[in-house]
Amino acid sequence: VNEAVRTFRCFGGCVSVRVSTERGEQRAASSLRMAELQMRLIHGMLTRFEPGSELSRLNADPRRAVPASALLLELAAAVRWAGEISDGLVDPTLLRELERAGYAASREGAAGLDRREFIATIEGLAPRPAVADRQARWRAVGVDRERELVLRPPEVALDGGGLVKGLAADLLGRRLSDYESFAVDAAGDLLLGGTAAPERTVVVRDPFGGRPVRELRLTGGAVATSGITQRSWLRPDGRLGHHLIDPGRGEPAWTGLLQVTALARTALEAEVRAKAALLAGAARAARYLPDGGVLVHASGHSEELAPAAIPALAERAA
Amino acid sequence: MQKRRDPRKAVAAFTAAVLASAWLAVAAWGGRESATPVSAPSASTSAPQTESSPQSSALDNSAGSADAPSMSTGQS
Repeated sequence: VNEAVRTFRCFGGCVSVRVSTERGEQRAASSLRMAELQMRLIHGMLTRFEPGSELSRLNADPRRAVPASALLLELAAAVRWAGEISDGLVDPTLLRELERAGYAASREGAAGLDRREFIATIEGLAPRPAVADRQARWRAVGVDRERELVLRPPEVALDGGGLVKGLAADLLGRRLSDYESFAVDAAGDLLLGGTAAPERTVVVRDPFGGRPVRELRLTGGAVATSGITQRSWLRPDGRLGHHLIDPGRGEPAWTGLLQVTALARTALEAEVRAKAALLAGAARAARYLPDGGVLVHASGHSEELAPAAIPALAERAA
Repeated sequence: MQKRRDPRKAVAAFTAAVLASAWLAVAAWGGRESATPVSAPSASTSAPQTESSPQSSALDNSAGSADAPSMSTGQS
């Protein structure tokens, strides 16, 4: 399968899109240009780091019901859904807690702590599985599709975070599904497919940029990775700062896992499941990885969870 | 006295309007995805096909045209 590829920076990282060229290279190139435009628009509308984005305007809007584009409606629906499938562990309404932890501005281009610095911050810390927030503010987020409104109390602010990357990959995948093969890499969230999709190797990167930890073989579906090392920093009091907040404690979580990769049918689902598994901690991670995944423990040891090995899968089938 | 509008809010509103218009135009391309929600996939028991081989190195996927090149997933 010959493919054309277009690579560009977006979502605070590197995005690449591939499509097969069976219908001509010009058509493939045209689709890739439109793909880039679509990804940039989604980022522009849903980033929390630009005051003119639709998401920032929603977060600043004092009304309970706010008119919204189809795209923002999708994000709001995803916020609620993420809370539901993760038992409240993935809570995209923790924007204020995230800002308090030191993530108020984009960290694009900022290096995370290196392995030695990171290990020093967690030394002596007992891992604790994250717990859901009793308030469960995500339950207050709703969507009125008929009237095109996002519904939420004005004090509840939304953080698109990784959900936006997953949504973007899924929306683009629908558009490219007629090609024999396509692959979307939305800054680390992958969606693979096509009418005659080839088998691909997907490399799981090391949490600190070392040698890859695993290789997966996939013909379709989605893969996403979430972790606390690449976007990590020291807080003023010397404690570890990162972007995965323990909802019940309102602080960056330390569950003993550095990184989780999740497989799923859609990029949005993979993104939510990877976060949920990391926040749940090693003992409960499998519950959130019904289609399999890879855990990287604090020791550096990696562990692959295959779908068949997961009790939850049998429970769901029954 | 006439109330002056905050110029930052005006710029933000203008930006939002431009983005929303552009989104409508792009969403119309292909005309398939804009009306259908993508955010609530149902639970699935059919997993993607996988097999593992630990500690392998990544292949270069930077070529402009290639055969099923490898990809990588990681934190961004």
